[in-house]
Amino acid sequence: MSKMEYAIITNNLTKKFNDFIAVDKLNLKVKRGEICGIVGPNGAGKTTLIEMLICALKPTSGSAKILGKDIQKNPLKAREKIGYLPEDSGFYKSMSGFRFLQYMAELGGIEKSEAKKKASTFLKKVGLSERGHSKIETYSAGMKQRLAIAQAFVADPEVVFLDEPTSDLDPLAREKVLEMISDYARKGNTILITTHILPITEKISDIVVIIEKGKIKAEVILEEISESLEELYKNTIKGDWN
Amino acid sequence: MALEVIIKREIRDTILSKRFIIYLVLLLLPVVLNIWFSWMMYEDPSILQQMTAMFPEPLTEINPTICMMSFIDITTFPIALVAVLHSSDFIAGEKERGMLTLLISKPLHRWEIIMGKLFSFMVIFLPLLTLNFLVMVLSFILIGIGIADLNILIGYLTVILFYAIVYTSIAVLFSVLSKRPSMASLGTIIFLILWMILDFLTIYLPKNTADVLNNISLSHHINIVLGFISGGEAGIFVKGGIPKDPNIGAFIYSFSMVVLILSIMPILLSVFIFERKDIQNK
Repeated sequence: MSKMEYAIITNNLTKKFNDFIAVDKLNLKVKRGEICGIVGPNGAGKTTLIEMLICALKPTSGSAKILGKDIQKNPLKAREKIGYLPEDSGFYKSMSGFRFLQYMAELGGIEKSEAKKKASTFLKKVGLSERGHSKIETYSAGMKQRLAIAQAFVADPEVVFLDEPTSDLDPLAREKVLEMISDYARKGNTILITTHILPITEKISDIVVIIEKGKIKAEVILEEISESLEELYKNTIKGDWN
Repeated sequence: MALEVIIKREIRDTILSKRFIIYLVLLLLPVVLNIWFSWMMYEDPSILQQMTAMFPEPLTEINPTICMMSFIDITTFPIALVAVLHSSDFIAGEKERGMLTLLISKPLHRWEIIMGKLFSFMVIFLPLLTLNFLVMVLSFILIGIGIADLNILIGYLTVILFYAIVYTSIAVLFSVLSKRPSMASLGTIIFLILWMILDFLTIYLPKNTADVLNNISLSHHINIVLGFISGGEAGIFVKGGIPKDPNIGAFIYSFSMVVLILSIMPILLSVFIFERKDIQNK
């Protein structure tokens, strides 16, 4: 398999905050078109990993490539085809949902007229068509989360990083969003998703990576394991509670 | 392309925001106050005599230059306030809103975020200040005070724009260094107050010490620039009036200090720090 078949490659990727090692020599490979679930306890380094991959944090050592582009040597190219949903996403609250999506699409390199079409399409996909022209400050927490998810996809990214995408969503919205994520991956796009909710990871992921204290504890292809993800997780993670 | 997108959004959202009304009021207030004050001086010249008592030759007759001189004194504070309130939000505000990591994940250079916001603010702010100035000049004509020579008008307008640019640049630097816009505003305001105190101190300090401190005094450099542009006809009150014999050498030095060191350098430093900074969501 050639390297370009991997959408995400990290090589001994490390991030230290003073003496604290958030991500410790992490080696990860995610193929194109795969959904990779990253699970782990609080403070395991999931968000730090994503923040390094979107070039918000500079790695202390090691390297990473997104679609073959080095995140340190060529950060602009590495970010050209990515989408990102942060945990607890922010907004311009006085903007409408439609304008926010249009703005995010344009920043992602989409032309204005096309960005408007994309904004409409994704508002529909996340069930916000009717409220699309209302100000974001009038949205409920769940609506904001759906809008945040939509912005991660609106610029046609080939690799999408989703940090806790289902928080604040009701069961029905959660189903719809997971469906949207699966559909998007089926088109050959790559998704890296972090969540605390193991059944969600189990439902949509192709591979699951369990990390603790910045290190990979287990990496499994879900089709190939006999036990449930929850059992595997409990057996893998020692944690401070045990 | 990203830069253009940021600029358009910033201009639109600034003009449509509620705080733009506050900016308008803050910037218009000194114009109104100064027109009123100039009219008072026009009606009662003894006010002018008291005001210029510290000058070697106190003024006894109102003229457009002295009216603009008093305008500079009362307008710098609102200009500083608007510049600080708005520019402190540039980066610290995005971080507080949780938007900064989202913006950074887009295929754009980090400097484009700073420059896009800075440029859009200047596009709104500088014409607004120019318009305010022209309204005031027109009012002087209507009151009967008259109009100053063109080089004096250009000199005073340059001063106003320089104050705005310098204050904005410094606020941007504090915005990059701070986690919240309130912290950035507070930091900038404390810095500017200390800077203004320094300006006043130089008037009363021994000449040798004052000469050294004047190198970092904004008002000193602005006064030299104004004196030169106006052909030695205009100055600012805080520096005791019109500078004596502003020569080309002093002008080039002061102009460079204002433009390169006090305006461009804080921006370059902001970009340098921001490009290397680790950004985390909230």
